[in-house]
Amino acid sequence: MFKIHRDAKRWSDKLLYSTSPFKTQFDIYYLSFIVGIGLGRSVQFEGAMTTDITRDVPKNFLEYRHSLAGLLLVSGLNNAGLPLNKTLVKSRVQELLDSHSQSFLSEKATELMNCFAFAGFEAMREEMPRVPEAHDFLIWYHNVMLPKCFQDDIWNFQDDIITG
Amino acid sequence: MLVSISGWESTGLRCPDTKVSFLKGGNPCGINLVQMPNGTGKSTIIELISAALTNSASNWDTRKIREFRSKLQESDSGQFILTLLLNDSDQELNKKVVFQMDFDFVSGTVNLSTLNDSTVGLEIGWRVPRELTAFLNSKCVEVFVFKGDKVQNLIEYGRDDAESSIKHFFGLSHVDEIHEIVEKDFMSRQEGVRTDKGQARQQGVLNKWVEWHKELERTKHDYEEKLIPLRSSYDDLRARVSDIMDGMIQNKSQLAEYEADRDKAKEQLSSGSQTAFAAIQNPFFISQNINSSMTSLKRNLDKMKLPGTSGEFFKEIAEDDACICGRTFDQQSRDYLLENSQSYLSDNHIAIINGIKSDIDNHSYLAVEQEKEKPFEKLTMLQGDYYLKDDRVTRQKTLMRDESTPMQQLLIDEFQEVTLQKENLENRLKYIQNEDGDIRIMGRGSHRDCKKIPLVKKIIKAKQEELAQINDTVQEFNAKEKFKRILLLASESTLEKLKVELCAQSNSKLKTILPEGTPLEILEIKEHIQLGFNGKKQHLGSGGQNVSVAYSFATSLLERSGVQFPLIVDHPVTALQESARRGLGQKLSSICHQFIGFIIDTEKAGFVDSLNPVDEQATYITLFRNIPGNQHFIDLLPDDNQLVFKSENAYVCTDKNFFKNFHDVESDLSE
Repeated sequence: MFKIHRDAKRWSDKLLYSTSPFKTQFDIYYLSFIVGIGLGRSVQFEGAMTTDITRDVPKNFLEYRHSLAGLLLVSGLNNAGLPLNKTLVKSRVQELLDSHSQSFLSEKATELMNCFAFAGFEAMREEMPRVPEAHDFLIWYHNVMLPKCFQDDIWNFQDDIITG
Repeated sequence: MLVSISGWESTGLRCPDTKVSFLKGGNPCGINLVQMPNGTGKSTIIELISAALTNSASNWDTRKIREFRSKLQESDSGQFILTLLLNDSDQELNKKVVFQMDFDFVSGTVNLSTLNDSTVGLEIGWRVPRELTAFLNSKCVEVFVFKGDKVQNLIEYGRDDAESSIKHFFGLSHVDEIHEIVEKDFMSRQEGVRTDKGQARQQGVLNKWVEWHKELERTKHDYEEKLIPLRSSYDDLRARVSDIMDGMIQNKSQLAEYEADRDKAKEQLSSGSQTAFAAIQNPFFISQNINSSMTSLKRNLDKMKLPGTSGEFFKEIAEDDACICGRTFDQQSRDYLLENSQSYLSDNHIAIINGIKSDIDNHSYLAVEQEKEKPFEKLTMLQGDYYLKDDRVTRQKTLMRDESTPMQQLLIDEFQEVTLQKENLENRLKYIQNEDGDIRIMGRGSHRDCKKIPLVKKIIKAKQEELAQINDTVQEFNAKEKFKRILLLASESTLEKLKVELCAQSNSKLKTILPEGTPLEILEIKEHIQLGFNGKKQHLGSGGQNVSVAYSFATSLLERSGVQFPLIVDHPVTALQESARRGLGQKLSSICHQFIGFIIDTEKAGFVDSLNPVDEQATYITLFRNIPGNQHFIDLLPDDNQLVFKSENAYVCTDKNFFKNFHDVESDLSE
């Protein structure tokens, strides 16, 4: 189950309207997740601090399911430390991926994603307590939030990270 | 049946005291133009006509009622009388209906009386003639009373005015009421079969959702009720502000141009936002570092020969008697093989790894292509363009506000306030009617967290089904659902058929109005009227084309319903250039049985001469205030008393020549 920060709905209400590019809470969830994973921040939350949004990945993200799974796999491998080996990769794959799930993610990976999204949401809200119109928000997200993300060394590879 | 307006009378109101008749030789005329200088009260009269036809005055508050008081006369009471003629040769019906509104400005009330039956006389209350019961409501009257943004609202994507008009005119809007009765009946039967605690608990949960649904419907109804007077005030204020703006013709056309530019920029901005968001949905587009780390992942997976052979492959071999090399398996070899198969990935994981690897190639390539389009650079440019154009509109409005009198400024400010309130309420209404969401999740939580009516309905249906299975009343549940489905299908199919018929009928009218060869038609009627040509969609037509489309649709709808009302139009040709006015004028008498247009002097060019019906079928009425500033008009009035009606504060002249030569040299906006 994908879960979003319980304050996200009220915070993002102004972003969801008929001509906005954002249509569902999953859109906000995705933006939060990218910020969370990009900043390397995740928060272990209690159930009451989140709201269930959907079990399945919505239609507009279906084509990126493999990419999202890959992103979580890279993050999982990076956090395991170097050097990596085939056994570790296989163990991470078994831990995080599940083709029986519509999202291709195991429950653990979904939880991990939720933790990133939770932290990512808090980071966004800290920077922008009140959201503007959707187009202004999108530009802010691209110009202000994204440049801060994926800057950590673990995302900045000059060479292969996985060995063995 | 033909419903015509034979005239109106007003005294003690914001509009001047007048007596206007559209009758000639006892018969209502087909074309009726009422020329009134700005500030004479066109919008007020149209609002009063609508109120008399719909009883909307019963929703007015005291403030609103007192706004109708004449500021010059300061009288304690006022009156508006609207007279209709109903004519149906098949039914041998020829009947006069009078709606009378009596204003008491001291108590802030308005009382309605109706003359429905000449043998009974005037009766207290708003009593709709039986023949018109289905049509005299705000939604239906909106179809034939054109004011404010009506023309645009029918055509604009995202609005449902066209579909809503059809539903109301043909009674399809009542299907929801029947659904409600069926649901109520089913629920009362379910209550009867409750037996144990578990069932009682389930029933209790369901009841909570049903009550919540009713509460949300009440909230929705409340929003809709509040919106009626608010929309009416909005239309009224908009028209009055527009009248003020009319006095600043050059500024107004400049504003219209700026607003059109701004709206276009906003559409482009919205489209640019969609493209930009679509780009960042691809993680590879987001950061070069994602791109390189994912590519690195793929290279290393390849190096490690992952995903490699499936663990299932070795398990299958271990089940055989011999290895593929021919060697017979002993138990030790079999155990070794099974144990080692654990270190290989399963089919399940292999499929995903292959998918990830394939996506790394595809999506990193896609990201390069997306980057070439520079969606965020474009979006930033579109944002700048939009704010520039929006700012230009604001500056123009400020300029126009500064040029108006303090009283007009108050009106403009009130209009802005009402616009905000209206938009706020419309947004809330839109939210409560939204159906986005997952009922599996919402259904598990508290009912109060789900504030969208369509979702609550779906949850109730799911819970009813669960309970019916427990109660063993699945058959009744299915029967109820089947009945509702049939009703819904029947109403949907009727609506679709009506849309197709109305589309064809409107197009055939449109062909006669538009110049031959005009590449424009109604492609289809959805929630809105979709314009286009040869299957290619078009957002809006020109001003004249839009008006022609709206008139064709409205009159086709009236004809199809069997009851034809007059078209009542505020500023019928303002947005049209002279050639388009001429084209419309020539066809007007053929598209509706009665046309009542409220115009200002500048709208006559091209329009009036082209109407050209025989004079017995047309009235040309000029109405202006009896104030010193209008002395030059009074001096020009014809001597024939038959052609001039004089009240304490106004003149009504029915002479065609006076009408044609009337030019408002100085508009008076004192009220």
